Amino acid sequence: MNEASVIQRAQSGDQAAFHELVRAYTKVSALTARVLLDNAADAEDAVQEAWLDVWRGLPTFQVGRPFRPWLLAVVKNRCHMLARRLKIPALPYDEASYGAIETVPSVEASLLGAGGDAFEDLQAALDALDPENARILALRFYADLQLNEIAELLDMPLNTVKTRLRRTLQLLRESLEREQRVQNGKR
Amino acid sequence: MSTNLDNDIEQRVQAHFTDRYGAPPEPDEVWIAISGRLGPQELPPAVTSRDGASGTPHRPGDTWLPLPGGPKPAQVRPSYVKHPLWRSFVMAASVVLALGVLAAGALGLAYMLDSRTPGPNAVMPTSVASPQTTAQIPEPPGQVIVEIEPDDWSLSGMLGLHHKNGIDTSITYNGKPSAYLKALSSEMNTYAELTNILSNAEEYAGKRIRFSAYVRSQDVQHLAGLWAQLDAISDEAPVFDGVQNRPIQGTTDWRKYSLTMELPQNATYVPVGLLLYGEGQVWIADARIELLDQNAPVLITPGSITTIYNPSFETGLVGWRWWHTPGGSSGGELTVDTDVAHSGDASVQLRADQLERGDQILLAQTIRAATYAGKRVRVSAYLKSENVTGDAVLWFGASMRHPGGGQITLAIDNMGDRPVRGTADWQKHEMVLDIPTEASHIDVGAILSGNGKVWVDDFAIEEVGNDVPTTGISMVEQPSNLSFDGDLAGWGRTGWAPGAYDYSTDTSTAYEGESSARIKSKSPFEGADQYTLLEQYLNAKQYVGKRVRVTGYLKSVDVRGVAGLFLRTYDLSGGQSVVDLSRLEDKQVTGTTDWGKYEVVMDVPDNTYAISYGLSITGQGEVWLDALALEVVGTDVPVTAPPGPVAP
Repeated sequence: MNEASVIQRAQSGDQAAFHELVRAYTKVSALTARVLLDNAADAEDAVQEAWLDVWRGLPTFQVGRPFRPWLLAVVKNRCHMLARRLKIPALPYDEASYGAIETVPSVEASLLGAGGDAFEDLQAALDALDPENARILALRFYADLQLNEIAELLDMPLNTVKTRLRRTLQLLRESLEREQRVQNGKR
Repeated sequence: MSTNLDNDIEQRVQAHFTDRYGAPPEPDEVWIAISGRLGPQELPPAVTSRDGASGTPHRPGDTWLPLPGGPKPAQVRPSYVKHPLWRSFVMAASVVLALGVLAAGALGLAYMLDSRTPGPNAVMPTSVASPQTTAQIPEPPGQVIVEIEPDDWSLSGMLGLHHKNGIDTSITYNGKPSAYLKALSSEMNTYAELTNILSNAEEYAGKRIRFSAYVRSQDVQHLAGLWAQLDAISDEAPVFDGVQNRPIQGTTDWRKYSLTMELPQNATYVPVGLLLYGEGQVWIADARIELLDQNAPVLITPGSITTIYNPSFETGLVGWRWWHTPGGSSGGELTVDTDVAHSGDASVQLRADQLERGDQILLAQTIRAATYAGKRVRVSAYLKSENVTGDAVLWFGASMRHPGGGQITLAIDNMGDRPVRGTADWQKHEMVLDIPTEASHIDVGAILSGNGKVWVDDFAIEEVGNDVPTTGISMVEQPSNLSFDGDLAGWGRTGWAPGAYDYSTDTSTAYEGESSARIKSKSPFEGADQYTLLEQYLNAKQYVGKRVRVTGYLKSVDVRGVAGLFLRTYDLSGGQSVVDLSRLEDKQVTGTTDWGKYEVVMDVPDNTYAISYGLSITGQGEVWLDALALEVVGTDVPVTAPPGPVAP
């Protein structure tokens, strides 16, 4: 109930109210941008521009609708713009590769590494993750986003996000088990 | 993730990415970087004008009537307090424009820059008219406090991009240049002000002053006038205190206008100025503020601004603010309707035809709680509806500003349990709330959710006796009426669809005492996800930083959705946490059950200002609640579940 009134006040130019809004969402906006752009300085720029976009566009925002999805869309937009300007391959646009995920069985093999075995420890598995899976993992556990939010940010079908995350976690689980077995064996 | 292995993985993954991407930012890191760069905000879309021009030809000095070319009701925004740094924000906005930094983003956040060059309009008549004689009643003499020069005015109002102001050396008064304010585009229904601030107002606290000026107008389509905002303290909720002595319309020659007022005891700074609503141009000259004798007649005294201003919309939307959600230009509009009125010449029409579910048009005014604090107050107005497929309601709320920032709702009724739907003729609707003594502001208004047309007219506010039952929900100081032995006093009907349910006390089914509280879904029932709460909203001060337990007894018949006990906290930073047992599979009530005991244990965070608890039901069914208790417990009592943050 109070976020709606904070937004309403901010819509009317109340900067103190806008400050409250920025504080509440600074973390999720900053961490999301860092993952999307993979570069702290670029992410800072993108987040600041995103919040200025929010300030400017706030009078057209629909009070009562959830604010967070709108904010994430603005952050995504700024990250896209910056990535295009810098020509960094920050965000994949290739729809075809997403479609392929669901149908090509060799994806399992690529996730699992050479020979289809898990990695010898968790860190090795994390280091070897392909960038897309690493990004999904980071958005989930570092930026703390919901799966549907990740799907929106990466322009991926929700099922693709779920599948990739599930398989990545399975890989990590097996790698951690391996690591722990080795450690227990050493004792 | 629920296993230890998964917890390990989560932690290691977080550490891995924190290493790679960095530790979370400080809470104010972004704010510090952007706070100096906040420029103007995008305009909310214009209100579309009503079809058809009607009404008698307009003459200056007439009260508000349909104007030639069709009425264009002004989009009146509240006269927000101008931060002392307002001038620099306006300048920053000009710099932003000059750099052409504004660009269309993928979400369509675009500005429309006006490409006309600034400067007085060269084709304006240059004659200097001699001043008209001042009002027939001689004005009492005053001692000049300040003379406001043409370059002392700042442009303010939220829509500065579509107005121009400056000094006009060709339109003079008594040989001196004037200051002008012009609305740039005829498509924009906007308002802007030339403002000057009496910043040492505390020297005149409790005293009577007069703000006067000579004003000239050209083609003012809606209205203009002098205004002043009393009690303009920057952290207070916006309140329209401005009053226009005589609205200025059309094309008028130089004429003196004045506003007299008594400043409140706590006056700190008082903005005064010239407001322009809608299209047109105005000039102001010879503006001054004078100190009057304590016995001089004044138009506004602090006590006179606690009533609803312009309650019957006879001066259009002056004093009211309104907005859409969404802000899109299609789908909904709010206009002043001079063909349909409950009394007088006008009412306000809220109309929507393409709104999606959850979208709204809202009309509101905020007044000072002042003399109503600590009293039982009734707000009423008349509504007329046509094909309303959603809900049309009035609303009435009382709030206070917390010293540390944040606004706390102390009481509210938005007719959620009795909305107007369909087609109905003018009918009076009433809302009654106990206004807590600490309330500082009262909001009143109307809301249309969904499609249809509704007209509202004739607001009224008055104190009533304790024999008049209250409606809505108010904050209570102590838990009360926990056994419902009589009525539902102290309990509110809230949630998403309180109108889809019936509420009563039931003497035939009680866990203890004489009766219990009962909620039963109405037939036909509209949707499986409708839910409602029977809620008591309590001042949290005794419970802050403590662990509390709410206990209650529930019974159900044929609950096809879910029901349960809930406990919620509200904190000053705008967050809420709730544990709703209806959402927990092992604790929810479904189907038909006999009396069972339920409890929720939660820690009340430090900045909590209110707690609420009660009964939640989603979907169809009938459920009873009785024998509630709320108590502080020790930390040996386990909390029920981690509370979930609530999306507002």
